[in-house]
Amino acid sequence: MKYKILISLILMFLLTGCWNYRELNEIAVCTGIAIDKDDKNYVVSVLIANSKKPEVSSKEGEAQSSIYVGSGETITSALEIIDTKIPKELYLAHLDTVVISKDVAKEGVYKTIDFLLRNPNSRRQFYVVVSKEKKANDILKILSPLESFPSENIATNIQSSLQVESSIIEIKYNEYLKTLLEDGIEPVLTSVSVIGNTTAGEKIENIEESEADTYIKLDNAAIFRDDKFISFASTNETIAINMLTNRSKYTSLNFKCGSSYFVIQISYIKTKPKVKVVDDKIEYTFDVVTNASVGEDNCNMDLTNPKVIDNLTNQTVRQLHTILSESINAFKYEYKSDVLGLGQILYRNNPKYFNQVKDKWDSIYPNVKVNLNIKVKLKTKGAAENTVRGYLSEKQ
Amino acid sequence: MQKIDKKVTKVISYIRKMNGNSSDIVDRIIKIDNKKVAYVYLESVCSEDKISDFIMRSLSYDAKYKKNNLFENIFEYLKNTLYSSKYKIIDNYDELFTLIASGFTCVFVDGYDKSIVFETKATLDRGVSEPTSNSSIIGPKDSFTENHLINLGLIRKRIKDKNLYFEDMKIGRRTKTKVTIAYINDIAIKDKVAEVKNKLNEIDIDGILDSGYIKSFLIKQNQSTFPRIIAAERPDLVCGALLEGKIAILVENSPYVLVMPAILVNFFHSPEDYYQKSINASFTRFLRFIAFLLAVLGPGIYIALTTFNQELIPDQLLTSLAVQRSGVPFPTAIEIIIMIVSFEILKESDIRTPNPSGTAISIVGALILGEAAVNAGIVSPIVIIVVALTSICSLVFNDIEFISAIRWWRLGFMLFSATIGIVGFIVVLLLFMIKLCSIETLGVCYITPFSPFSKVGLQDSLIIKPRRDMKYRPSFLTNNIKRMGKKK
Amino acid sequence: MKNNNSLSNLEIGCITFFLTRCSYIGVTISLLAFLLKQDAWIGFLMGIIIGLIPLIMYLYIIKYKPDFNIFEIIESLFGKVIGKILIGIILVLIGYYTLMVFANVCYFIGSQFLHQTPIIVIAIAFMIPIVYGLFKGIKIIGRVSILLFIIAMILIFLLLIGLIPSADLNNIKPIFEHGFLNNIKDCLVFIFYNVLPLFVISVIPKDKNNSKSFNKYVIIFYLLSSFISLSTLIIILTVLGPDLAILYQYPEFHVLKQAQLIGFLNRLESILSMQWSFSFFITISVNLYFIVTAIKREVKKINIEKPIIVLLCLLLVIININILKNNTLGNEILLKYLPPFMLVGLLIVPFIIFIKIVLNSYKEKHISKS
Repeated sequence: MKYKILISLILMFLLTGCWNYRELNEIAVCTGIAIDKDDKNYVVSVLIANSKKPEVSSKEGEAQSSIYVGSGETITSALEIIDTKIPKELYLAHLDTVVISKDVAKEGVYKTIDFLLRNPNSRRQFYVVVSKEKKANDILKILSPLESFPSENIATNIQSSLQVESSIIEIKYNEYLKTLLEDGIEPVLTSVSVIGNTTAGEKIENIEESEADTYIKLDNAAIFRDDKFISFASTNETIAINMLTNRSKYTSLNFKCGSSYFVIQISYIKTKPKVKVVDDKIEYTFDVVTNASVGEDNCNMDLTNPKVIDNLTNQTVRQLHTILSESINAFKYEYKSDVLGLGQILYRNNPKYFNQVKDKWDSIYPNVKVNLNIKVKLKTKGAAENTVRGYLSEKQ
Repeated sequence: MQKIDKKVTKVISYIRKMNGNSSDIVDRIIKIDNKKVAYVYLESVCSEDKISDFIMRSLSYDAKYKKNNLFENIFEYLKNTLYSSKYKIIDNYDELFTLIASGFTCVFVDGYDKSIVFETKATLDRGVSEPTSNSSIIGPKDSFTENHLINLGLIRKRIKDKNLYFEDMKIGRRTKTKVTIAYINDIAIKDKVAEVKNKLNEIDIDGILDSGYIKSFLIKQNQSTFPRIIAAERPDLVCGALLEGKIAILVENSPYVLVMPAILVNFFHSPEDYYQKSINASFTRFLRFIAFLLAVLGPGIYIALTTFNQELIPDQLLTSLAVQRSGVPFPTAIEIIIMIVSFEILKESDIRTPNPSGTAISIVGALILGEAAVNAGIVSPIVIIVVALTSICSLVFNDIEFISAIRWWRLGFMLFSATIGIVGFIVVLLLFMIKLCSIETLGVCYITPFSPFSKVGLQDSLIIKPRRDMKYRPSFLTNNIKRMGKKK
Repeated sequence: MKNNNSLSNLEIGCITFFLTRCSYIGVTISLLAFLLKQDAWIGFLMGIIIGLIPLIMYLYIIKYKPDFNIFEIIESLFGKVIGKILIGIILVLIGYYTLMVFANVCYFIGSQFLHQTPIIVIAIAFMIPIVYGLFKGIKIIGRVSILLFIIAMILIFLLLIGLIPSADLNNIKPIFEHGFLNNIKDCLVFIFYNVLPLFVISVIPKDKNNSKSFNKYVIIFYLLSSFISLSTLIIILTVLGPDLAILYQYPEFHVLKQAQLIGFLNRLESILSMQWSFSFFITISVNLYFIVTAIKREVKKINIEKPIIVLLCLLLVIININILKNNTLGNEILLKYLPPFMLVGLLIVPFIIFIKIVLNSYKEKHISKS
């Protein structure tokens, strides 16, 4: 009995506690951050997700988002200035996206997002994107009719687009750090741009129309070298990065035939890299295996004929080969950045050699030889085995 | 130990004086063969027709006696020709009064210092009817009543084994209530029966009004919040327990029979689980287990998530919760406590109000707790959902003590979660488990079959095996483990 | 029916499970990843196999006289004076280990969950179930360990399913880059932290009826726990990659943030990490029981148990607060680099006991022959 009293006394001391105690209405849920720079200071905008809509009664909550801006010499001081503007405490655990402007990216991305590594609240599961506009701020302001918050808009956009095509890159903060830390691979980030008038996009009338005037579009990859932004890649190069690093499985190719197009959809991509070192000369071989199927047939081809199928397969292989080899050359000579991770592949298969040439990798990299070995398996999917036009022309 | 007088009139006046001349004493003197014979009874507990039958028969004494000369005296004659088969010969006044109060009639013959008492009890109870607290869907619908003999009969007619022993004792100085211990001799362990008997013999109290009085003597009251004795109203539950090796205690005037020892999984059982397909019954039991967890852990987790560890809540939910909570003045823990207290008051008032006004009051209560509180800005809507969920989950169980135990521990979880979040939740979870593991009744640990691991016990714990496959009795209750014999 | 105060084999097995798993948070995994990078799992695997040797030595010592606990065995072999010195050394080592584990807990919770709360609150909060459990006795702790084992296995299973889809085998690719011998040298890390502290099971009273399967249960649960830790290590290396695993202070916690179950539950790190608190609880309780039994034997008064428990716990809390106030360097030295030197004692002292037992049995055989 005496010990129960002792324990209860200790417990009473605990019950005064309010150290980490935060009620739900005391936190400002921050779902997006945009980082810009003007001359000397960083300009940081945060997107707060739980402000109330003014007309609705306070119990039926419809949340709306609001943006607050602060500037300071470091990111943390900018955030402190923002803290003085909002009556609640910033809470970063539900961060969805971080948008970095092009100019800041040119000077090095990591310095701006290092604070998210050390903040104990952040979960490091957000997307990092580069904005093609002058100000990253603008991206966070655009409202969209399909999602409640702009940051969520970007995040779900990335996830859903990757199911269909490969012209965007999905990178989360963890993967970005991994590519930074490892020797032999350079980071890439996806990019975002605004189509339409920015100031009109902030207003709620934008989403009340049936076709919104202003919206956000995800774009091609942004290529980095040594953590500094080099340039944006083209669509084909982005597709090449996705295919060769096993990041996505879907893409589609158009072939011209006369005045209309024939579309082949690729539904499965797997790449296996191999490397051989012969006399200080490094030679890579990428074995690319894909499954493809017919997407649109406007060219009146007879899909039951095996010869036609062979022809189509060869055309696809040739087209893929062109895309991939052009992109690889661009990475080697134009951007001079090892985004495909060739150094990492060398390290994994032959660590001793890589450790010797690690320091000179930048100069060795453009001289490596890359072979491509592409296999396409074309299956016709869907109910139709032939084209409607062909059937009609037969009837006539 | 005053002996009975030989003169009948003196006896009657003494009895009247003993009881302060109570209004329900009836006495009559009749003459048989020129000797005075008197009988006394309490009309509040006796049934008149049995007594009138005695009078009729005794008046035919003249014819029989004088004709056959069978008996030496009137005393022997009365003893041998009594209508009732339950009779006693007593010679002192104390025992006499206890028996009269139990519904016996006593007969005095002039010149003899002994008295014959025979039973003429009236039935003062409601008869066997449907159970009020553990209702049944399929299965027998009879329940115990306040009549001791009927209760014993309901058990005896189900278990016709010769090894079913009933042992009697009288407890309570003034009430002298009959308490019967029932057990099956070759299944139950003798040490346990002896321990129960010792504990009952030590009771020295004025009166026992219900079986609940005995509960605190059988186990020490402060030791645990969880109940260790089942109070059962259905005979099939008690008989099932007896067949496993448990001990049943029947108390006169109480429709609740105590069954010991009880383990935690017994509170998730209901007798109907054995009357349906085992897989459906397993699902229902698992559902009760989940209800238990929700009832105890629910508010604690809610408080921990919304005040300390908001990162566990998905995005959309978090923003809508945050907006909903914006006008509320109280911290979350106080909100929940206010709502729980209101709900408990509502439940209590629902039990006490008489039926006609019951519906209106519960409607008013629901309105108070629902829309009005939310609209007035006292609580946020999701707190109502959480409190309603826990309260409904706790009502799944039959035993009122179990529900109270859930209430106490729910409060403990809430307080610790409100202090340090999910770490506090883990701390109280550990305390809860230590507490559960340390409870022991009659040598049986409370969380058998999980902790002293017993494979046979698992077949009837949270899941149930088909009756065909249950070949052995659980060994923590009995040494005689073979349940079904092999038919050749 | 059962003896009072003796635990069944299953309960001792579950306690072994948690004892082995305790140090792997924040200590073993970070150290191994730091030393061996992507070969850390090979070092771990070798540690498991080589760690069976001290474990079998401990089991042999326990089997020597099954009715006595370890202090009586030591005193009967070496006589009172040397025996007390040896017991003293072991007590100091186990006490140091308990201190290290407790500091680890407070540090882990203080930096991941409650970063603004003063450490003393976390320390007191954790002490409450430990004190309560010790008051009730070792038998209750044994029963609790079975329940905790069931919950821990469910959580571990969910963890593994949630993380396997994000594993990428390429991250552990260059195997044996660091050479075979380096692996063996660094696998001693595993042995010092996870196997040697298993010495405390020698003080738990055993069930006399099933003493034959005692060894079997201990070894099975040891292997089970080690392989689960090994699979977690492999998952950490394949999901995060060796570089990130070194960057983060508690990589096993960060990898949980990427766990995704049934497609939509993806914020489960606090719940899935509950099982570490369980192993901390059991380890500290059993270690303190060890120390309390030794002190009780010395003092021989009846009612001294409860005040000793409270005193020891308060001592732990106070020392911890003073350690954790210092800078990170002191912390690192005290918690990461000094323990192997201290814990070697837990290898040497039982070895001495083992040799004495072998010599004794050889002498007895010789005497009985002649």
